[in-house]
Amino acid sequence: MFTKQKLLLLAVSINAALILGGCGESTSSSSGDGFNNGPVSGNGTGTDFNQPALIENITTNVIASTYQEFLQKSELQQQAVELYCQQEIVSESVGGASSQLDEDKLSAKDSWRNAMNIWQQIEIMQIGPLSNDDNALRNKIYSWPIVSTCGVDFDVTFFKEGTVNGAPYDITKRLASRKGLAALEYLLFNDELNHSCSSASQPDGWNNQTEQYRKVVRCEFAGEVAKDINNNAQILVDAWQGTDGYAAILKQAGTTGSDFETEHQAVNVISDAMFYLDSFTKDGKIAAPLGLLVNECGSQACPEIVESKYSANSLNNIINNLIGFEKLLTGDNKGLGFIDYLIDVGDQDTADTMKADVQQAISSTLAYELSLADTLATDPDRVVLTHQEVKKITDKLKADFITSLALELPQTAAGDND
Amino acid sequence: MMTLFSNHSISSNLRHFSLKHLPSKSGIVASIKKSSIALAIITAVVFPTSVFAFDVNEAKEKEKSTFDERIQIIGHSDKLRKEAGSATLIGEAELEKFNFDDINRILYNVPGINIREEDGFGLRPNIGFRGATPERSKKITVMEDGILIGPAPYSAPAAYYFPMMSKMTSLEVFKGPSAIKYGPNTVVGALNMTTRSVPDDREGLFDVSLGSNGYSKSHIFYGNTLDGISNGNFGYLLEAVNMQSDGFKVLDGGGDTGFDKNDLMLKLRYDLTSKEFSQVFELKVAYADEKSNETYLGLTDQDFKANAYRRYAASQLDNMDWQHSQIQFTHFLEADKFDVTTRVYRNNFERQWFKVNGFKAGFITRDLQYILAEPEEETNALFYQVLTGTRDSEKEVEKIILGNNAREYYSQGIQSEIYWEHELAGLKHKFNVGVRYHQDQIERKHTEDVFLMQSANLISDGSEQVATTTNVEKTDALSIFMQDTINWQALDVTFGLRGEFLDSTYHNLKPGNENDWQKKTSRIWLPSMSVFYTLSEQAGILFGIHEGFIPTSPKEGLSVDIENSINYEFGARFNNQNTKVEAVVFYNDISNLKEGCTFSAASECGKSLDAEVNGGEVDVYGLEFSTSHTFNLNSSFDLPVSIVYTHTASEFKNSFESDFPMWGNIESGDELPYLPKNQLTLNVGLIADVWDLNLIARYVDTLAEASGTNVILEGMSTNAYTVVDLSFHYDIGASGRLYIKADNVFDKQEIASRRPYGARPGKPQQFFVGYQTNF
Repeated sequence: MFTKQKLLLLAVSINAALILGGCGESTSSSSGDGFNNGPVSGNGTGTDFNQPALIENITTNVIASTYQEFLQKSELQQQAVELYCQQEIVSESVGGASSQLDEDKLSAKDSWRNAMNIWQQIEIMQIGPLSNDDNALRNKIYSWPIVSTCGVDFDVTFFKEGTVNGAPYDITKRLASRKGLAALEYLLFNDELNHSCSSASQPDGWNNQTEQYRKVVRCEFAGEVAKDINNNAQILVDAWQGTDGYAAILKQAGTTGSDFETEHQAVNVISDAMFYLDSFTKDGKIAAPLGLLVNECGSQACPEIVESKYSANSLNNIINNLIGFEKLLTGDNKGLGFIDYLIDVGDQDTADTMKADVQQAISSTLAYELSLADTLATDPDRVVLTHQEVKKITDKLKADFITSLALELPQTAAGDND
Repeated sequence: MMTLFSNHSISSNLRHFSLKHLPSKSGIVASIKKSSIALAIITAVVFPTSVFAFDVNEAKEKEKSTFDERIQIIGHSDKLRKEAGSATLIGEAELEKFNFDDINRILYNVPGINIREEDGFGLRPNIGFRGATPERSKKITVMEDGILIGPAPYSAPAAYYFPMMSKMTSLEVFKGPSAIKYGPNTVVGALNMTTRSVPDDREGLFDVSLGSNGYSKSHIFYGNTLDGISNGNFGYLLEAVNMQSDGFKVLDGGGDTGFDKNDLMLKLRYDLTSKEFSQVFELKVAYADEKSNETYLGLTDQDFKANAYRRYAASQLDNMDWQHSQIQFTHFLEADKFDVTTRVYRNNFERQWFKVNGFKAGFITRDLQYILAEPEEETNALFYQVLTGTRDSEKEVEKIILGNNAREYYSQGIQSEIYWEHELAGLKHKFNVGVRYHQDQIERKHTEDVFLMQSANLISDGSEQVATTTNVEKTDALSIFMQDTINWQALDVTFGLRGEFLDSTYHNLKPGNENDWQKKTSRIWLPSMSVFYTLSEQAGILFGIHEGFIPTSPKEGLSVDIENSINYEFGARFNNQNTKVEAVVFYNDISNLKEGCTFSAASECGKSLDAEVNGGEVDVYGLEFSTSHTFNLNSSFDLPVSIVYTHTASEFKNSFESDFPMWGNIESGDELPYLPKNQLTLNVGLIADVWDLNLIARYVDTLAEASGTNVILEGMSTNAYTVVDLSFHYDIGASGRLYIKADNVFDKQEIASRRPYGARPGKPQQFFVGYQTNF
C-alpha cells in the first residue's frame, strides 16, 4: 500500500512540477524581406544611413521651429484681432467707421494670413500630438474640411450671452468646427452679416440686429477664437518639446523602452505625415473642387467648395503645403532630410525628381493671376495643370520613395483616388 | 460539467474520420509520411485482419457499447460521473424539447458559457467559455463528431462556418483539464456536436415547421441496417434539412433580410465482427450551403429605440454566400484489451461575404462604429445621413466601400486514439493515447468596390474593383495526447499531456509582394492533472489543473505571443438519479491574452485585418453551478426543473495602451469586455403521457462593450435582460406529433451588442408550428 501511495505521490509531483515549471514552448521563424513591411520592423534599408541625424534635424530644425513660428504668428494674430475689435467698439460708440478701423481690420486679416500660411506648412507635419486622438488638437486649431459657419454664427451669440445650454460658455469645450482658423477666417473675411444657417435652427433674431452690433459681437468672438488658437499653439509646442515631448520620443527610437522598436519606424511616422499632400492637397484642395472627384456640384468644377474661400487664400494654402513638404524632403537645408536618405540608398533619380517637381509645383502655383475659385470658374485647365504637377510628386511618393526607403504606406493612402 | 441533460436514448454515434475530397494521392502520401503512427493506422484501416466466426451477437453487443463511448465523448449513464473536469452533455431528448436552430439558445443551458449574439438566428455564433473572447468562437475548439469543424482551425480559427444544429443529436462541452484532449485551443475548452448515427433498424423522420417572419424548416432522414452482408451489417443514413426565413429586420426601402440554408448528409456504415476483433467502418459525406442577406451594420442607439429591427439603406447589398463540403471516414477496432478509433477527414469551405466596410478613406475618414456611436456629432451626422439614404453621397469621402471578403479554406487530417486498461504496480490504469496529423489553409481574395448613395440606393461609382488582402496561410500540425487515469481506492487521478507541433507558412499573394512571407515553427507541451475523490455512491469532489494554449496565426510575427494560461478548477458533484447538483469554481491565470482584429469585432479593424495583439496577464475566475430535479407530481405528470448559474469575474493585471478596438488604455484591474458577471437559466417542464410543455428563461447580466478608456464604446454596456422561450408538444399516436414554439415569448428587446458596428437586436418574438412523424 505504501508503495502505491508513493507511486501516486511521485506521479502527482512530476505532473505538478511540469505544470508549475511550465512545459517547454518554443517558436521560431524565418521570413522574406518584405514580411511585416520587413525593413520597417528591422533596420530599415540595410544601409548605414544616419537615421537618428535625420530624425534630429527634422524634429528640431524643421518641425519644432515651424511650430514655434506658428505660436508667434498666433500671438500676433490675437493682438491684431483685439486691436481691430477695439476699433469696432469705438465705431459703435461714436456711430461711424474710421480709417483706423479699416487699417486695423486689414492688419487683423493679414495676421490671419500670416498665421494660416505657417499653419499650412504644419498641416503636412501632423505627427504625435497633432495626430493623436483622431487629430483632436489639429482640429481645434484648424478643422477644415469640417467647418460649420452656421455653428460659428450660433457660437457668436452664445459667447455674447456668456452661456450655452445653461452652462458658462467655454470655448475649449466647443466643437472644433466652430472655432479655430477656419472660424476666424469666416469672422474676419465674410462681409455678409446675416447668419449662414439654412436649416430650421437659426440664431434667434440675429438678422434683425443692427449692422454695427453684429460686427462688434462677431469681432468679440473672433478675439476669443484667436486667443484659443494661441493657447492651443502653446499646447502644441509644449507637447512637442521638452524631455517628455514627442520629439524626444522620436529621437529615442530604437532604444530600450522606446515606443519605437527601431529608428526606421520613427522615420516612417514622419513619412506618413507627408501623405497629407496626397489626400488633402491633391484630392481635397484641388481634385474635388475641379470635379475630378465627386463633389457637391455633381463632379463639376465647384468654386464654392475651395478651402479658405472667404479669404481667397486657397492657393497660398497649397503653396505652403508644398513648402512644408519640401522642408521635410530636404531637411530645410539645415541637416539631413529624406533627399539625403534617397541618395544614400542609391536612388539619386527619385531624390532629384521629387525635389525638382516640388519646386516646379510651387513656382507654377505662385504664378496664378486669379484666386483658385476664380480660376476654377474661368480657366479650370490651369487648375488641372496644378493637379498634374502635385500628382507627379505624390505618385513618386507612393512608389519610388516608399520602395527605395523601405517605408510603409499609411492606411489612408492604400486606396488610390487617382 | 455534468450529465444534467444526458440522454439515455442516444444510439451509437460514430466518431468520424474525415477525408473530405481527399485532395490527391500525393497529398495523402505527404501526410502519411509525416507520421509513422499514422501510417500504421492507415494500414490497419485498409488491410483489416479478416478473421471471423465466433459468437457474433455477443461480440456485437460489446462492440456497440464501447463504440458508443468512443463516438460520443461523455458517457450517458445516470450514475455519478467520476471523471474529473467539467463536461456537459446535452442529449437528443433535451435538444428536442425546443428544437432550437440557434446554438446560442442551446448553450444557455451550459454553465460557464459567454455568448455575444449577433444576427438573432445564430448563423455565425460568438461563443466563449470561462471568459474567453466569444468572437467567432475562435478561442474554443469546435468539433463535429469529434473532428475539427472550423474552416481552418489552426490557420484562421474564426468559425465563420458553423454546423446546422437541426441535424445534431447531442452536444458536449468540455472545460478544464478535460479540454486538454482536444486541441489546438486548450485555454478554456472544446465543443463537440454529434450528428445522427446510422440506425440499427429502419428508421425515418419527417419534420416540417412554419413560423413568423417567413420561417420554414423541412427536415427528413431515413436509415436502416441490413444484416448479413459479407459477414457484416451494412447501414445507411440519408438526412436533409432546409431552413429559411425572410428575416425579422426591415431594410430601409425594402428588401429581404433573411436566409436560406441547406444541409445534406449521407452515412454508410459497415459493421464487421470477428472472433478477435470488432470493427466498424463508416463513411460520412455532407454538403451544406447558405445564402443570407446579413450585415455587420447595426443602428444608432436612438434608432434602435425607435425600431430595433430597422436596417439602414447602406446595408441593402450585404450578403453572405457559402458552401461547405466534407468527407469523413471512420474505422473502429476493438479487441479484448484495447480499442482503436481512427478517422480521416477533409472539409472544404468557400465563402463570398459582401458587406459594408465603411466610407472611402480620404481627407475626412470616419469609422462606422464612431459614426453610429455619436451620430449627432456634426461630421458624423453627415455620414449618418448617407448611411441611411436620406442624403446622397456628395463628396469622395462619402462614397461607401463594400468589401467582398472572399475566402477559400480547407481542413484535412488523420487522427487515431487508443484506449486500454492495465494494472501496473498494483494500481489500475486507464490509458488513452491519441495522435493527429492535420493540415489547414485559408486563402484570402478580398476585394473592394466603391458605391454612391443615390436616392437611397447604392450605385456603383464605375471604378474598377480593387484587390485588397490577397494572401494564404497554412498550417501543418502534429498533435499528440496521452492520458492515464489511476484508480486507488476512492481516488481517481488523471494525468494528461498534450503536444502540439506546428509548422505554418504565410505568403502574400499580391503581385510585387513575393518577399512578404513567413515560415514559423511552434512546439509546446501542455500538461494536465485532475483528481476525483468519491465520497459516496452519490457524491464526490473534483480538482483539476491544466495548461492552456492558443497558437498565433501563421502571418503573425514573433512579437505576438501565444495565448498561454494555467487553469484551475475545484468542485463537487452529487447525483442520486433524480437530483443532480454540480458546483465548480474555476480560476484561469492567463499569462498572455491574445486577441485578433476582424471586421466582426469592429469596422476599425479594416486597417489591420486579422492582426493579433498581446493583452498581457489576465485573471478570469468564477463559479459554475447547475442542478436538476424531477418532481413526480402524480402517475400522470412529471415536473422537471433545472437551474444553471454562472458567475464570472475578470481583470487585466497590467496597465497598457492598446489599438485593439475592444480595448483602449487599460488600467490594471479593468474587466474584460463581453463577459457577463451573472447568468441564470431556468428550465421548467410539465410532462404528461401525450404532451409536454417546456419553458426556458434565461437572464444575462450587462455586457461591457469595451474595456479601458480612449476607445469607441468606452464605458458603454448592454442592459441586462431576460428572455423566455416556450414549447409544447402533443403526440397524436402513430400519426406523429404536433408542436408549437414561441421564442422570446414576451417580445423582450434589448441591445444584444453594439458590434460589429452599431446596435443590434436579438431575435424578436417568433412563433412556430410544426409536425413531426417518425417512420
